[in-house]
Amino acid sequence: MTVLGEQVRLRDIPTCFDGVIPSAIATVDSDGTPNVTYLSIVHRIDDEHVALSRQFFKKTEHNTIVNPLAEVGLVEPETGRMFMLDLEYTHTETEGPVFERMRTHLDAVAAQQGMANVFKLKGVDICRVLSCVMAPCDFPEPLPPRTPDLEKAEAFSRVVGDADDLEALLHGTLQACEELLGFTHGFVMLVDESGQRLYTVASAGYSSSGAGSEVSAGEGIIGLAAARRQSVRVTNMARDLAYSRAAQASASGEHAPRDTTIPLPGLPTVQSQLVTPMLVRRELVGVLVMQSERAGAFTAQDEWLVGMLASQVALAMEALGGIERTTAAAETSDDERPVHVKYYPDDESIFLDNEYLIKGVAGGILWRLLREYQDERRVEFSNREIRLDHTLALPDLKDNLEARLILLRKRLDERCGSVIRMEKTGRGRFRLVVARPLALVAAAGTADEG
Amino acid sequence: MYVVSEELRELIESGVAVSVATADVSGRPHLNTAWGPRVSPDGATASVFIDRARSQFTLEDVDTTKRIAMTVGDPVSYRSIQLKGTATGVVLEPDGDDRDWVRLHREAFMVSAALVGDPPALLRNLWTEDVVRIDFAIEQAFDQTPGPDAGRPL
Repeated sequence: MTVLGEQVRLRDIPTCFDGVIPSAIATVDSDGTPNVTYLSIVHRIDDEHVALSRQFFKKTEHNTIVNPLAEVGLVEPETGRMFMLDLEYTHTETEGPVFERMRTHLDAVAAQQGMANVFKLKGVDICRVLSCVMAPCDFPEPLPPRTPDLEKAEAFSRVVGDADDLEALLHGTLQACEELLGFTHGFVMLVDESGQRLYTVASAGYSSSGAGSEVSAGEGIIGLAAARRQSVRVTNMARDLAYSRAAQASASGEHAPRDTTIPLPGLPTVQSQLVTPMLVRRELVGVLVMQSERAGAFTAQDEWLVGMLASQVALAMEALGGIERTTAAAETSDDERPVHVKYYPDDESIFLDNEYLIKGVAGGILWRLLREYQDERRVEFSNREIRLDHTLALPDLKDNLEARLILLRKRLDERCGSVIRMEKTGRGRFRLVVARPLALVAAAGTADEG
Repeated sequence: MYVVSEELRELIESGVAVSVATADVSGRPHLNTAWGPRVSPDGATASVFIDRARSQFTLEDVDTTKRIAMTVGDPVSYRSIQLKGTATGVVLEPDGDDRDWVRLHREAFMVSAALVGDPPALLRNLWTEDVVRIDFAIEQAFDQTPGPDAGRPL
């Protein structure tokens, strides 16, 4: 539309670049014929440059080569104000940080539908911004800027510093996300020993904790953020899903099946998601996932702040890695009905009365605890003895043991808290509480978890 | 000349998001949000409305180069098509029927956009009350639905 008016700095309208509302782009062919289509991402590089995703629009691609001028309309999601960007195409990039960032975002959109190929980013078109002006509208006032509360950020640092075990640290982290940023739904997933899978160990704000739910690195939005060591921010899931379904129908793409025994924590209608990798010396230790039912809930500023929090938590986790002590004692109950505990050594899965409970390392640990309970009536255990127990034949647990125990405890609380549970009795110590007799059976094959 | 089918007319006249593009004599593109797209009974021409407050450059282009492109997209299904053609006229003071048509389209668009999570407060600021009408002869149509077929002539 090209409007006359005051020039607006791109940095002053950051949410226009969040992709909540699609942007239209107009270009012109060499014969003067205009073309208009919609763009999935306009990325702000700096106040003078933006990058446009080059995916499907063949005509736009052609036009920008013969005539470098383009006009893009950006809508500010909180206010509906529209900003017109007059652009001049300079060049296309097929690698580098801007390309990688935009590729990850597009792959995240695709990952929601399990279709990795349709959204292949061919390149990003770098454009110089000739002008940015607000289009006339009925409500031209901006919203007051949201500034982070530094006092609360400092308080969070102290929570992280004071945490003397992993559970306190992760609980404090999710609490800080709520108090500091107002994010009431979040969970933490940690990387397992293989480095290829993540499992949920703490969550807040969900009807079910999802403890023990897993994703593979590269699978879905969470797995993508983990695999690329890059935060992923989805601002309008409903639109993204509609977009990917349309592209899927057009390309006859195929759905990839999902395979999680325990569902991830989730809201009925997630509209925004922010997945932040937790890294120590570039090594992935886990991801911090924030969700909201509101479109555009997480801004670029939130992404930076959560990135800082995630780094701090990752470092604190590493520092806590060695904390552990020892001990032993007893407690039982006299409900006579036995609970059938079946253990499948192949994948270390455990079923209680034919109902799946847990598998993998945590399953192996539980089996060991239950056997000791059964054989010796032992109920007091320490993290350290489990760490040192070679009969478990567990992989090198390192910092993961404590996380596995938290996971196991949560899973027991959720699935069978009235029968078997683990109670924390001190730093690095816990008690096994068994309310009914156990019938332990080690199976020969692998469980079919259906 | 291109004749719009009944099936495409149904899409064009539903609660779609609408954008138009024009170009000035130097080849500079001008984009505008638009409302109330309507296809003539014979399917050969279309009308679309733009906000008067935002209309200056679009109207100048329509007057000089006359080339116009209009893309409509369903916010829910993302099914999109683009019509290209030549402007045949401008109505600076649309009548009551036209205004009702625009109001109905905006209401339908609000419903579609709300389905994908756009808050009504945002949507309301996408338009102003006063509109002008542009009529154009349809010459070409393209599928603009995201995917490998985007840009395919219809």
